[in-house]
Amino acid sequence: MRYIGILAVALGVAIGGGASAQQRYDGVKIKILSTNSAYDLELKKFAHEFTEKTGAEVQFDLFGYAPTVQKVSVELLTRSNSYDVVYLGSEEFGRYASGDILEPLDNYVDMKSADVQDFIAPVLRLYNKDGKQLALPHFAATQLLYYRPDLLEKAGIKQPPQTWEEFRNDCELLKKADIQCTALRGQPDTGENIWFWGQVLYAFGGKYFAHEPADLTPTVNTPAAVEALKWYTDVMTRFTVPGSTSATFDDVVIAMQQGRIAMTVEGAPTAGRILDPKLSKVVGKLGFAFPPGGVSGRFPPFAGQAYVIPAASENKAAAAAFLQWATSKDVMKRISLDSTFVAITRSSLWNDPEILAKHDYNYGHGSFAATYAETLRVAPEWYYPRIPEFKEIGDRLGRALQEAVVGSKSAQAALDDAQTEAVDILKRAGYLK
Amino acid sequence: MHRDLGRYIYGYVICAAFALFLFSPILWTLSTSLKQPTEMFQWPPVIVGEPSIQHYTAIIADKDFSSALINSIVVSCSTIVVTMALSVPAAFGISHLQKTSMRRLLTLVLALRAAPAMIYIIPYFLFFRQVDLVDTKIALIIVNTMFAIPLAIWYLSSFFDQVPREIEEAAIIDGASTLQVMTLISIPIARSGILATAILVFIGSWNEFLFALTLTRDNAKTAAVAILNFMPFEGTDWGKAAAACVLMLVPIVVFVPFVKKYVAGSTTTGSVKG
Repeated sequence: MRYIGILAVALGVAIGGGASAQQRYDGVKIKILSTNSAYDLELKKFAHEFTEKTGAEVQFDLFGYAPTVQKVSVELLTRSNSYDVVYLGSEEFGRYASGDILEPLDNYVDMKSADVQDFIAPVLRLYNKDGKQLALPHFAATQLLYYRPDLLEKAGIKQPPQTWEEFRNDCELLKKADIQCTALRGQPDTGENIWFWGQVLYAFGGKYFAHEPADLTPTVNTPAAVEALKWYTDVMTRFTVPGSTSATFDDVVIAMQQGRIAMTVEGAPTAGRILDPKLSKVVGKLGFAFPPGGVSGRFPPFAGQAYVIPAASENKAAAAAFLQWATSKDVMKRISLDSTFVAITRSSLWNDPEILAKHDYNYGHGSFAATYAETLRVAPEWYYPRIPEFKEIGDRLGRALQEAVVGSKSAQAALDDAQTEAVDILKRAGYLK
Repeated sequence: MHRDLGRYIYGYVICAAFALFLFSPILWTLSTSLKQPTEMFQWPPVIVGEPSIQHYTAIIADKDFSSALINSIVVSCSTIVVTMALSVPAAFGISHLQKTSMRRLLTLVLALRAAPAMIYIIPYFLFFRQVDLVDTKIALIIVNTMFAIPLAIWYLSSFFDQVPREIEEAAIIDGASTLQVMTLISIPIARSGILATAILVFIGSWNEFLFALTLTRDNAKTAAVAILNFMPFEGTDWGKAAAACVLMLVPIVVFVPFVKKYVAGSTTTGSVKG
């Protein structure tokens, strides 16, 4: 029986995956729900090529980021068959990975093929649940340390900070030299301050849960976590630009782009905006380095974006063929060369001379592309805990961080309250008794 | 005299400070919409450097946004028509109920509106998907009308309450039917209140976001939702987003003074000579 199953899967892969590029899907219309990001907008331009190859028509419904997340939630949770391919950010993956909401790709795509193995391994693993691959990623983000060597030098700092303590000490030196040190994310949200916060928490020796996934007792108020929050509060209150308490990534990017700060740790894919020649005041002035770490090591924040197939889709095989095409090396390269897209998920493209010629920035203080690729190589796929409830816990923890920063609670009290609520959330979900 | 002047100045200063606080986001949006991209994040900030309408021309040329703007106009105007067609007779009827207990219907009507809209999202989505009306203007008109009717009935019944009963009774004595009393006597007398209510319904529908976000995709998307398309993952296009917000404000700025005029003015001034 087991062998029949294996044979069936092998047959399915042979028909659906291996031959997908040639297989015809005449009369099929693949409907896609995604964001209006650079990758999707470019993909839409190339989509006629997929239609010519396979006969399947492609219809894109692209929205801003926030409405897309909301629409994806409604479509997936109501098991709607309206879309065949849907955008999914890795921070939301846990919400939909269980319960037969997403179609495993193993039945359509040969996961052992050289083509699939070309995806950067941690990025692929972001969308793997219990050995089943549920998506093919087209976007991989980490954070980098962006810094101004000229300003650091003015303050007597010889090299970018290697640890968070060094980061704070450097801020002190910059302040003495009358230079604004930094801007960091302060907006309380899993996708904002918590995306930054995770690396500080881990570096100080803290973690979100006792032993994920076996023991999900929250550990957000341990002494290590409190120390991490004291560091964050100190930096946010003494060394950041005004308004950082509620700053989003956009505010941080603009502060760096406009030359208002000496350094920050922000998303690697935002380099194109920071260095946009039409708007930027720091072109030619930046250095790029690995984000700082601590006693436990370095943990660059990590998130992906991918396309998934809803289990309710009526065109799964055609959708899988589209996924393979849309994330293929050739298409990704063309999109990257034609646009600002640089969050490449394929290992081979990070060594591609044309890509490097277009997207590498190197002003004598580190290569942007090399640093980005290195962070992707070591990025922990467990950076965001992968349980559906983490979004709620993360949002609550984000508020705790803000409470400590604005001084309405001490670091210990803010995290104690967040711990209590996290326990309640996990009890309600049945993880804890 | 000095004391009065002091009070006068004090009152104006407080009002001016409050108005500035209320209007500063709108003024900031207006100023951002007219700035060049390089001036947008200049430090120290400038109110407006070299005014430019480039963001306005860009969003008007943007087919996606302009069709969303047309959708907003169609949905809002249709919502007015359907809401008023249903609410005016209902409010007229409630206004003329004799028993106090029956008048409590009005409270019940409003109570239906008290539940947060959020709880309706999934049921409505499932329903409209079942009847194949997702991403249609009809779905939005139905939902907006359902949410506008309770408030419209509440406002309108109070306007009909102000219509002197003597005039209606005189018409009845002259042989007018109830329908004739409503259409020929009460509605013309209460017209300014009805117009004010219609404008409030329009504003509610124009600004509606939650259902438009959930129940539309590409075809029936309204402007309130389309603004978010200027906020992609890579970062907000502040110039276009601000220009779109200013365009969204135009009907509100045009209509609100009418509401003030009609609601503040007496409905029945001069109806009955004493």
